[in-house]
Amino acid sequence: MRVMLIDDSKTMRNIQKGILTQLGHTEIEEAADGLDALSKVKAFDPELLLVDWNMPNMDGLTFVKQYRSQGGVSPIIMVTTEAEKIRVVEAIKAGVNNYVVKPFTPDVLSGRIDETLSRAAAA
Amino acid sequence: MPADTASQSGDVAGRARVRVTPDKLTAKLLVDADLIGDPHAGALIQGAVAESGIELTEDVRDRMDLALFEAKPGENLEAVIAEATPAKPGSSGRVEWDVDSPEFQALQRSRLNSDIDDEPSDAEPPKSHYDRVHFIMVEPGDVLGRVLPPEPAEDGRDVFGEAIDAPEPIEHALTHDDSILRKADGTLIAQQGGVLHRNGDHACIDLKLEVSDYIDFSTGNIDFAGDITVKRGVRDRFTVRANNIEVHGLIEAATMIARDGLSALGGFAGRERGSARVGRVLEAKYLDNVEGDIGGGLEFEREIINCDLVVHGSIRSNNGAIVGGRIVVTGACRVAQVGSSGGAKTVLAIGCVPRFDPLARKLRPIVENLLAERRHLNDEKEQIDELITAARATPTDRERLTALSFEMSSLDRLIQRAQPSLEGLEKTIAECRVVDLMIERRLHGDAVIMFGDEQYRVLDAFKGPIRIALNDEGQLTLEDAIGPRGTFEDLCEAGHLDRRATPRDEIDLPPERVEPPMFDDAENAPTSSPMEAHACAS
Repeated sequence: MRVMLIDDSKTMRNIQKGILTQLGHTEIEEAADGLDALSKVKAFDPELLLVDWNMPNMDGLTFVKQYRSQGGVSPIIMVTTEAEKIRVVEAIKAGVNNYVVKPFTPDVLSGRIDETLSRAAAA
Repeated sequence: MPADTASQSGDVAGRARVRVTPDKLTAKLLVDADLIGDPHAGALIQGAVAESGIELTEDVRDRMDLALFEAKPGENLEAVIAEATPAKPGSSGRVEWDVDSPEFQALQRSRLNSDIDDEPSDAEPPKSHYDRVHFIMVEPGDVLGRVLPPEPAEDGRDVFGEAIDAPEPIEHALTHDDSILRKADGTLIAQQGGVLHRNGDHACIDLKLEVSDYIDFSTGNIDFAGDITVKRGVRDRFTVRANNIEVHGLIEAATMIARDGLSALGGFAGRERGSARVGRVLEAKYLDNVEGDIGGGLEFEREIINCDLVVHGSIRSNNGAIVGGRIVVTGACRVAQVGSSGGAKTVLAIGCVPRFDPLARKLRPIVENLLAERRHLNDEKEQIDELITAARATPTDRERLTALSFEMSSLDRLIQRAQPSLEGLEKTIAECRVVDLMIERRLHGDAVIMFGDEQYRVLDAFKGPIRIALNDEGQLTLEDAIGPRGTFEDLCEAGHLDRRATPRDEIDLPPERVEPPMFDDAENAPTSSPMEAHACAS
């Protein structure tokens, strides 16, 4: 499965990459912000996206809106420190499928990934 | 052909006769000179031949015609006109032995050399006389040869056309026991390892090889799957490898590899080149300048002089002395003397488990570092947790906490693997280790006793019987006939090994031949590497 990681922190991307690798996903593309991600999505055509909210150049929420507006249908998990309910609702309205609040443990993230993929498969 | 032994028949007026040898293999036509040229000669001769009873084949007719054609007037004719077809006896069965082939001998040499050096062996003749193989050593599954069936005989025909019976060929009557399997096609397969004996029509593989003289150039190196008894000795530079080895005479600077036990009943004078690899017990009259690794115990009668030995079991000698050299022992040690009055440098490492100690020494700091790192990460995590609880955590803190959680999770996985391994290893070491040194007569000054990272040089001799063992605090203590004398540290000059400084930390390597340890005084500078190498003996 092709997975795109969009986070300005390389450490966070590495953590997410480690978890995805443990789950058996090895086809992974990284992007440092929303703009970087938009330039890569067409070519990479991800089947799952993990997106941070707060990033320079283009934040995660803007990226999600633009991705959906361009016809992107792959499931998106927002991985962020933004834990307020209103923010969560805003993200879901923009087209996010699942939400992980930092700090998270490897188990929580892998659980959310499984859950999101199952839902997407059932849909 | 003597005329008096021949039968004559077909006499036509006495002028044409056929003479047949008594074995009926040849018939000769005899015609008088006056019949040659007679117009009735042909008929007369044919009549004589027919009357003789010999088979009138085409060949006989042709020969008769040829004889008459070649007959000279005025001379008697004498010609062989019929010959029997002799019987073909066939050939009896036989055994074709593969073990006599150069290829099999090369295989034997390669087996012998496989554990001794890394030089490749091939089918070429041995380059060294030491490598010549004089016994046929086989291993299970080896094809020894094959029993070839007899080739059938063919009957012959005598001159009268009667059959000459050919003797029936004989099957090879090879007998063997269960050590050899004879397959339906006659192939002979070794069912066990050992030495192949062939005696007439009997073959067997014996698990015991008895060498009545020396192991020397008359025998070559020995590699035997069974047990060997050598009635005399083993000469310099020969190699003997077997299951159990018993040598009644002196073993010189030879290489002895016993999968099970080695009995050096006449002693082992290694001259710094002799070595012994023994799976279980080494029993010796004495050992002198021998390097070795003994999987079980060591029992000796007189002394161990300047040897470099690792003994994974116990050492026992009622009257023997350990003089010079370096001995590492895992189990109990009971000897009459350690060291010498002349101050021979003697090192005895007790309670050492060379099979596992180096591994535990490697693993211990790894586990300690992992645990320390885990504690460090946990401290940092707790600090961020407090900030989150107090609602003062920044997004950076939250991201750091995620990273910490991941790092701790990775560390936990490593710790979960390493810690039980270390605990299991330490448990095994504790089970193997016996710290019990009993010296019946004397522990000489300058001898060095080692235990763990500690080394103790004996300043003044102790008169036996003494016993050195561990007290409840894990300290070495000395007890003599009067009673406890105190800790070894108080009684000796103690030193400490810095194992981190050692370059040799591998497992199961024989100890290096190095000088015995020195101490931190002006004359004897510390040399931690040899001490360590000796202590772990691996």
